[in-house]
Amino acid sequence: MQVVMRGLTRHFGATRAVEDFSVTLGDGELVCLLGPSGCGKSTVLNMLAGIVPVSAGSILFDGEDVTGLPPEQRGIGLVFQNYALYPHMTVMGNITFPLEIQKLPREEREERARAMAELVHMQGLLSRKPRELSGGQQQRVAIARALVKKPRLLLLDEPLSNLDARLRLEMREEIRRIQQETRVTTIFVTHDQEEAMSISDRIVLMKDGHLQQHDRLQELYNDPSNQFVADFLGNPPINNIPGKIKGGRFVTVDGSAVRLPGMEKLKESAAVNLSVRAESFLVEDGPDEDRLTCRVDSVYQTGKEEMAVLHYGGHGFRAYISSDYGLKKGDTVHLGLRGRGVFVFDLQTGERWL
Amino acid sequence: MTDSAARRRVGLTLQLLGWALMLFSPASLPLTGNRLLALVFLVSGAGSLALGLVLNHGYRVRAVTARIIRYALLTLGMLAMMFPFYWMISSAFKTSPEMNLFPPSMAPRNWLNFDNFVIAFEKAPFARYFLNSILVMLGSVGVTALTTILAAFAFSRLEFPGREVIFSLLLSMMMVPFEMLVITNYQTIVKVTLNDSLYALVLPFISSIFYTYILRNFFQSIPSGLYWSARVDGCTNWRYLWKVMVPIARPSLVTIILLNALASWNSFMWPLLVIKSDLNRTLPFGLYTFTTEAGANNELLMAASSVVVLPMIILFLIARKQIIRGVARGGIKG
Amino acid sequence: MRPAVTQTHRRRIAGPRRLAVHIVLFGLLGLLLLFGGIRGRMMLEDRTLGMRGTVRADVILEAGTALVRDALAPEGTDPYLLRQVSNGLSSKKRTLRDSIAALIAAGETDETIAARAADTLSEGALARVEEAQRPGLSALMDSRRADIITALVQKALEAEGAVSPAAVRLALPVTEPYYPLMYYYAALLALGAFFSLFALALLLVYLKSDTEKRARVGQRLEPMDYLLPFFAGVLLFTLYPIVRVVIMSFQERYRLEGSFAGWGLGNYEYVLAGIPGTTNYFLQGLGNTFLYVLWTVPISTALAIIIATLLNQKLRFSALFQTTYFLPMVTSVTAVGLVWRWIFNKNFGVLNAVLSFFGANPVDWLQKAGNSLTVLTVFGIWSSLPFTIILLLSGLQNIDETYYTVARVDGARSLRIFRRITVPLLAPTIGLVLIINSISAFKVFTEVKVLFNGYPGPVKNLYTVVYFIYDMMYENRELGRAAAAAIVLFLFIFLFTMLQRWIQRRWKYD
Repeated sequence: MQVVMRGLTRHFGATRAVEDFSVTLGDGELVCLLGPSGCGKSTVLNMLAGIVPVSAGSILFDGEDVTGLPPEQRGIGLVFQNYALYPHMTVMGNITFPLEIQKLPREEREERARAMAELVHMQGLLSRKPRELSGGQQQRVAIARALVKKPRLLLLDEPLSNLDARLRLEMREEIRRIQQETRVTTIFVTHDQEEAMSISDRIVLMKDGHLQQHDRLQELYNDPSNQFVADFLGNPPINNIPGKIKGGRFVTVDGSAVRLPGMEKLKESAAVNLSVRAESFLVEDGPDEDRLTCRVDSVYQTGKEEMAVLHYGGHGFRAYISSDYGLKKGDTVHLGLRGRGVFVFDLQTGERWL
Repeated sequence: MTDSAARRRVGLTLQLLGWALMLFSPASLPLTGNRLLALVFLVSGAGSLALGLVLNHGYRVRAVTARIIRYALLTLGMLAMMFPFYWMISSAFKTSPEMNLFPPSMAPRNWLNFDNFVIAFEKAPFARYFLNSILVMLGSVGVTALTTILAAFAFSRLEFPGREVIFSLLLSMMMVPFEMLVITNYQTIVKVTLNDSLYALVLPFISSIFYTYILRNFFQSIPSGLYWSARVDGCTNWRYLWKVMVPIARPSLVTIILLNALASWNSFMWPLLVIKSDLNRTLPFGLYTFTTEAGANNELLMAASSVVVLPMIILFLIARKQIIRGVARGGIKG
Repeated sequence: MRPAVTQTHRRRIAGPRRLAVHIVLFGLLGLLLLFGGIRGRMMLEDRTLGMRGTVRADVILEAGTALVRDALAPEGTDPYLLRQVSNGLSSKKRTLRDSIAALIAAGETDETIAARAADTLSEGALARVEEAQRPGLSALMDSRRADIITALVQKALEAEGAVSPAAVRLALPVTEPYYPLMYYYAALLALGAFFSLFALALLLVYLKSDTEKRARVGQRLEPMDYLLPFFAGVLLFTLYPIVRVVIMSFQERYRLEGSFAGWGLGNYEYVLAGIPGTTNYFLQGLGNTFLYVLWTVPISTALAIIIATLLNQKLRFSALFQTTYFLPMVTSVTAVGLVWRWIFNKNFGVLNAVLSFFGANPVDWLQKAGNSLTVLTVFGIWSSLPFTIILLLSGLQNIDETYYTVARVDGARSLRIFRRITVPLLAPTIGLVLIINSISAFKVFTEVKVLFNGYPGPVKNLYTVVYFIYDMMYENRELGRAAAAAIVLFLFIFLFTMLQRWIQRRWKYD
């Protein structure tokens, strides 16, 4: 089912939780709402579910305006962070409860519940009570319960936050698998970029109630629309070196300058960030105007790669440098920049110039 | 049939029924001559009509109506709960002839008629009763708080053999009702010639297993790391108890003190047993004996009752949240 | 620079000191108690002696008078003679009393005293008899004299024997100075011995150990300081009564003074079976109490659930609602009971006013036996509502919002949510409420006393179990019966609670 959100806004009191949020999600996609705490992602989810009223804007499910509809009429399935499994019912009871409400006959209810249980690999545990299940198992049941009424949209609110690291890995793959098998449009809220990056078709990045960018992971990574997106994704975080654009070159506080293709088009600006990903540096043999001359502050090994902390333009930054070059502390090295992973952002607004 | 279709059906039916009942109501009067019945018809008819109309409206209307009904029911209940108190206070200001009206008047003619209070205080030493109640309450609360704090500390932070076993035994003793212990306690008090004194009202209650249990639970929730780091600094148990634990446990302590004060002020059966002379009576007991004095003059009784009830009402208004929380927690213990 | 006092050092000083202090304190306490006990016992002995003397004198005097009279003027003799003899005897009584007292003080034996009594009495009697009969009666007297004396000695011995310290202890009036010492001397001795021995043991430890060990022992004593006041109260007013009441229930005709007729199940018989031919008020009380519980608890719980559900929302005026719904909980039952009594008044009460407004006849609530239980029940429901609502509200608020949200998203309506989610999740709290309320309903007493002017109902028809206990204790002074009743009450409460628990456990696993 295609989900279209237009100009979605939510205020309460003086707080503006979500502001002019417009996004289109395709049928059968697994989309992740990603962002730091307080960015409004849960609010968006709640508005989609109908739990929270919309201050402005509209929501369309397959072209149908559902903005005014109460949750029970939207055909959605909901999984909360704490799973909200009814403790006094068995797994079977929990899964069949939505079907009970729809007044399906008992046999059909149980059949569908069994099918769901198989889908989430919980078929042997139907007579258990939630308190006898592990965290991961409880979550599977919650998902089964949400899916059993064949919703057109599945909403998950930070489903993996309550699990330990190992279980988290396992469960996110499970969620991906289940979603692939059922092909239900799924929206998934999280603050963990690794989670988002590993399973979603597309990521919707939010900050302070505003949409930052909505794209596939590769695009977000290689083509961030602003400073925030570039900073948020990537481990280690992207390197930011502040400076000015002067005469078609990037000039740092202490005077070092570098000219990169495309910089001549930029206007003379007071402050920008030169943002370079750690893997976008190349070691060159000598200085040049499109190279940075840096001093090596320290060198250390991270498993397979060697990382160096270097100094340029009054700031430190990290770069992946192969140990073949034998860099040591105090060395001067000339680094060139690859075509990918290099950006220039306005220091104030975060807008992307290059 | 979908829900909304069913709802429409029911709504229409209710509306029709409502009209029918309302029309029938005046007609029933000559038939049965019973005013009550006619009233019932009218009211239920109106209600049915209203309900039917509401059901046929949208979600918003229904939600608002639900809220209205909720508030209405709660207010009704509130009136029922409060009525005796209103009655008590309004009767306290009525004069004797006003009390002998039938049907009784809802409000006294003169709300500032303090005569009954004056007369009641003359006829029985209520001031003395009041003083006694206060003394007993203060004494009881003070001593009990002390023993409770010390014992709860011992059971939570100090080590000694059999600590848990002893505590479980104490808990099982908590189940025994006071009504059973009262027999021997009565005899004991009489035998040590303390009966008919205020001490008798305080002594049997100096240890409360219940309050100790509550406080001990709270003490245990304070991390023991605090204790050990204080010990390492050379802090003695006594100092730790009074300078650290008690201040932290203040909300729990306040609750215990409030509950204890309430129980002490309102206790009736025990003073009834052990107090003989008029001068040593506490308020509830004094009130009870006053009934023979007041005889048929219920307005005096109402005045006296108001006086008895007032301090606790004030206490409740001040410490409402604490008391409620304390009761809930205490009740949950089972 | 002075070295800092380390923690261990401080403990090393404190430990032995604490041990020493404890030895001294406990020793003193023990000795004090022992002293009190001994003193009490000694005073008791003195009193016994004194009483024995009095009893001896009285017995000899009375029995002597009777025996002499029977000897001189046995059954069937001339009433004129009888009167003469009686006059003669009584004339001598006062002086005889004094001379007996003097003889006792002088330490004379029973024989001597009996002889003197017999002689004096017969002398007096004969003096009043007519001259003519005197010699005959005198001879009669002489022949019987020995027997009379023996009999008197016998009686005196018996009477003295009956005056044992134990008997005296029970018969002493409470107003006697130092009464507590005399009555409780045994307990004082026991406690005194206990504390003294304890102090002694500690002393041994003290003398035989070095400072280290002393410190350690002193340390281990510390909890005792904190626990003593608490345990003093518990032992004296909770543990001791529990044991005592159980024992007392088997002591037939146990009275406040402490005397009892013997061991046996008589109290239980009285309580459970009653005296044939009279009303068994205990069973009546049990029945009334049971009915009371069965009426008030379910109704008030049901009402409380409704009210708690209504209150379980963000309401405006929540402070107002809270105050009004929970107020009855903090007010004295006595005061409120009086208002209800006035409300139920037959002639001027509000309730009858409302009834007559609707055309019904006024009801005699308080004087008609059939209505008594209704009155009590209404009052009971009203007073137990606040507490119940508080507990249920707390239980409701503990139910996680998300359950409701998920159910709503699945399309469930309010009624279904209430039935399938709220009530099951509230069930443990409801169970708890039922148990607590029924336990406290079993103990109903003050309400009856206040509503019915100090009587168990208009025609003694509304006894409750606790009222019965109170009656036995206060009006009849039959503590043994009260004890038996209390034990039966406790057993009932216990069994009822266990039954409820069992039912609730079954119910949960359904």
